[in-house]
Amino acid sequence: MDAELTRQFEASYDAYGAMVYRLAMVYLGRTADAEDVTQEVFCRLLWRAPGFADGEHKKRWLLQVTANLCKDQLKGFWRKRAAVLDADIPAEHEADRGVLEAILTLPEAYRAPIHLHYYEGYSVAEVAELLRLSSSAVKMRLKRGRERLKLELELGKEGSV
Amino acid sequence: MNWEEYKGALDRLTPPPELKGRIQASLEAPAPVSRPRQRRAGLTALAAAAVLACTFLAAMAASPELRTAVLTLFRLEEAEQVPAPTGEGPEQPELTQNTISQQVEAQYIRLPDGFSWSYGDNVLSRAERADDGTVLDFHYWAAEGDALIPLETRTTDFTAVWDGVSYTDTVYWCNYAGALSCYCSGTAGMALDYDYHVSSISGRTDAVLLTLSQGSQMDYRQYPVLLDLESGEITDLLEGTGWEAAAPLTEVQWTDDLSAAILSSDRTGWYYCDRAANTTASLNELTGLEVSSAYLAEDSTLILLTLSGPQGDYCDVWTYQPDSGTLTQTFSQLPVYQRHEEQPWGFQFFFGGGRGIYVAKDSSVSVLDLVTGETTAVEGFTLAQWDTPTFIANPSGTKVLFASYGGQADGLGISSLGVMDLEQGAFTLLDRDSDASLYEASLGWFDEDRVAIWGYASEDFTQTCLYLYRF
Repeated sequence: MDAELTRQFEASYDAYGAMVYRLAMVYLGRTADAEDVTQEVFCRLLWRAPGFADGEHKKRWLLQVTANLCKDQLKGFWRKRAAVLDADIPAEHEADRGVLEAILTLPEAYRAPIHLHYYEGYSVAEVAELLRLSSSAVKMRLKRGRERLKLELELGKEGSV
Repeated sequence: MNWEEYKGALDRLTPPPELKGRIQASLEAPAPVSRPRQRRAGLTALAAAAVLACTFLAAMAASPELRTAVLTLFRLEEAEQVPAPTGEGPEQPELTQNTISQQVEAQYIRLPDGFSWSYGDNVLSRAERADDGTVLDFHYWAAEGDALIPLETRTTDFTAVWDGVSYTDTVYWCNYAGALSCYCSGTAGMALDYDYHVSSISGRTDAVLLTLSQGSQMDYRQYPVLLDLESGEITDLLEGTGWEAAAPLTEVQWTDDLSAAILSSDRTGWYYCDRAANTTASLNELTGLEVSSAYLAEDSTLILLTLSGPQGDYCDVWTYQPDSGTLTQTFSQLPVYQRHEEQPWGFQFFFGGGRGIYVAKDSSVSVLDLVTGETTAVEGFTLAQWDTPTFIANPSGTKVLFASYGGQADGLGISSLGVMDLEQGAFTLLDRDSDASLYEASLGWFDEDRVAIWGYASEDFTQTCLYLYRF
């Protein structure tokens, strides 16, 4: 890999690596799987990505590819049958572990909308575009996912549904 | 949970520092192909089973001269009109039956809301849990004809001690049609530093395998014991065999009679343990190969895989008979499968029965017998027209499930479903019409003969259904 590609990778990874990894963890719940997906996403970024209009375009492309790769993984035989939590979720604080476990007990369909809307800050319409869902489906999933998580949004982050 | 807790936990969830370097190293190679790293073998029973059943993908060069049989394709004219769960969920599981084109028997099961359902080993099961996740009760049903038959659930309490940790819990089990189904929730993802799971043993209804584990990631290790279901007695299966040579164990595969096992460790490689002879030996030393993966075929034959090429791009397949020491190569120089390519081709390995699927560069499909080296072509069928097809062998490897996805629906959206019957020489393929109100979440084998699709009402994920198909 030449110096320019190395620089591109380092800049992209430093900016978006954690974002990609978090979304993969929210989908998959296993660190090894999330690392595999993160690796594949950045391989694709360097070798197969389209030209980006701006940083936001690039960020959305990364999230979309991450979501698609995670869905591919979830179609795999053993993932379909392994609807259980993995015990290797890294979390330094016990409370964090509890939060992550609660997220991972959500049906898969709810996790990405919740994460992209409440954590990444995308609007319902943007989440719908990213996940190729209707806005009404995103709203429904946000509502039900929030109810299941018993997620209270009183601390300055108001949902739009 | 409040927003600060959610955000704080996600903020602190960061990739490991070494991941960046690992990705960078993988990008050094010129070809734009994915290079998934080798993953550690199973943390849980399901993960372990998955490693055995599905994770090894490889490819082979076309060898038409090896083809000794054909599978004939029967694509049914009538498409299935897939029913969607509508209205209130039932109070008890409900089953309706349908026969499609006089060929495929379908059983549509709707399940009551609010429980933790699962299936496997020929039965449907439901756990009732307390708010903290503790299992309060466990129920089994058999699906026969147009009826769901409640089965008697029995329990066995156990206490096992390994490496300073005491494991105490209850196994829920039932004996149906001569086969045992068992369940134990382990630590249920509570992220403790230990876990355990149970699995049934082919041909045994008196005992189950109990796998005890400790640590996670690179520190993960496991140990197998036998649990007697009548007495709750624990029997150490490896004592005196010299298993310590393979420690720390990360995966154990047993012969049906538990007389021998393949022991594997991320750190020390692959070993063959002979319980009768009380010996454990490295498979590298026994065979002179550098073994990459090892599996047990049905008759205790070992299937060994070795990798070659600059980046492990090719693999060879061998069989090894421990009693005689006979080593036989059945396939050679198989290019490693690239699943993310536009037109993926290659060889997909199944543990069950030592079978594999081979997709040639022209998208034609064959089934391989890794023990005998025989190849069976699927006549008149190519993969070119199918979107992200899936192949899954049944537990004994006598049938292979095929599924393809429409790509329009949320969830799997399975648009075609078929079964290759390797004994009958037939591949029956069913097209499916379903609307967007069904969210199909999983696909697999319910038992040796029936395919299972697990789904939800897409407008309300509280409604669950299980669809079974016998081809």
